[in-house]
Amino acid sequence: MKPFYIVAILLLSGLNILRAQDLIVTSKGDSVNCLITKVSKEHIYFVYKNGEKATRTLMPADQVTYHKKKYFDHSALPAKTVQAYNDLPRFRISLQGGWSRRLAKVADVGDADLKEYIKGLKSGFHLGVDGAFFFTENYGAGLKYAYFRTSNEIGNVTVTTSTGETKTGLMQDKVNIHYFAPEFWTRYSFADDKLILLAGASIGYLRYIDNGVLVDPLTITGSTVGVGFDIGLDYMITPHFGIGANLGLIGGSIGTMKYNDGTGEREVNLNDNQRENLTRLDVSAGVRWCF
Amino acid sequence: MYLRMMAIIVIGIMACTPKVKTSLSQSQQALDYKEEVFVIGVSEEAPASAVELGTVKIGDTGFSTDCGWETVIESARMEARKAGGNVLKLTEHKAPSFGSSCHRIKARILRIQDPSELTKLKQAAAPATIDSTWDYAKLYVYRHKGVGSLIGYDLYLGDSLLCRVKNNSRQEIRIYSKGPNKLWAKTESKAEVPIDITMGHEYYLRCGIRMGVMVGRPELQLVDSREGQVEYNTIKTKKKK
Repeated sequence: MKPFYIVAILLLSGLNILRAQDLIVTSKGDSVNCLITKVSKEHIYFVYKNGEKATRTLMPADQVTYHKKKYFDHSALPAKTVQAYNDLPRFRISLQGGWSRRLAKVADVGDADLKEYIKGLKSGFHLGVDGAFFFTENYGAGLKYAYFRTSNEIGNVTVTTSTGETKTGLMQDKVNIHYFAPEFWTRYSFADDKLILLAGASIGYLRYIDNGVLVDPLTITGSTVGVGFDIGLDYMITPHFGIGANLGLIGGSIGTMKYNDGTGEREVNLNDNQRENLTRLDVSAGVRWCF
Repeated sequence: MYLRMMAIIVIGIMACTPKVKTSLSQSQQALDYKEEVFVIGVSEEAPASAVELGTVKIGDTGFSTDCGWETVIESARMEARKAGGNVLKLTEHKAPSFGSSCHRIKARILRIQDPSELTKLKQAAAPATIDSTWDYAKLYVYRHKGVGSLIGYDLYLGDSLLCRVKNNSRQEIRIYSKGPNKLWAKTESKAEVPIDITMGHEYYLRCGIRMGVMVGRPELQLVDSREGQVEYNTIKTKKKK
């Protein structure tokens, strides 16, 4: 099925949810057409049409024999009222990109040019996609993927190989960091659900790949457990589409690196003060779909 | 460090709703869902026959954002419902201020057993005492203290300018044109509410400011006369010398 049709079906099902109405059957045998807003152990909270106006009320749980959400196809309450009380959409997908900066201090390498070169690798860009399902109005969980890239190069670098040979040539690093993690989300909406404040926390897999050149090609790889935090604000242009800004922090440090220079691969355990700190700040903007 | 940050973020988000504290002195069955909770204003007296079931306080967690007048009153009403109270007597109201962007209230949860007495109370308090001798209608326009305090806007009825709506203000306006019309105001965007004016009636218009792109946008809402009256009387304006 083409993606367009999938999106269309999801949007239509979302609209249907907005118009559906719920049922409560009381122990006295009354059937109440209403919009259930919350169900707790002690009470069931709902909005119903009382004459011409929508009234918020509640009923003790022991007075309810049956209740079902979306029992009726159409709501007796005005559409605006239903929308005001309705839950936010359950699914959220966001695509974003922006500027990133790695926060680790640059080691004192002695050579000023080399220090500047390393500093040049601190900033880069990132792209990401998050998908989440909110199991309640405010809490949800999903998956996160973020890709970071930075690069730098410098010419006429002289190196001495392990065999004592001296070579001069290009030094280049193309650093790619992938972060893939399950993420826990909380959210809160205001301004008639047009603005949604979100915060997320995640723990997942952090992969470091440096496709570099040190006169000869050299690949450095490593992986570790990463931790991520997000705080963002979504502005919903329609109930299902919006834009948003996000501030993210992804952290982790690698203790073991693999070096591959084309002739073979060797694994190096780094001392505590040599660990590759991957912690970075992501400032991003992007689009959001909720359905 | 990461766990501490996570806790701060989660607590911050969770704390967006107002803080509700209910203290009950009597245990009663919850109010029937069809019954209404009648609200008595701060300056009004509660009937002597009403039995006090407890008190409710709606405050600010420090992170609360959804704490406008309607939300706060609705939260207090729900607490009264749970306790079996059919009357809510406001004892204190604090409007949003520099220290808090929330309305904060304290109220007594009361129960009037006699339905006829409750009806009498509602009738006595009904503000829409229509005076057929009036050749005008009264429009009560009010705006609480709150965000966007520096932004004021003009309120129109159709083509006619009625007044300037400023922060923490209330005004009583007589309207001499009857029939369907529109109340509207504009800053970077226009807000309007339809109104069907009948001579001798009273109308309450709650005004506010909501977030805009460059400047706050007007928010207008015609409210139930009784609720409007209670809310209108909570606004304390500075007396002009």
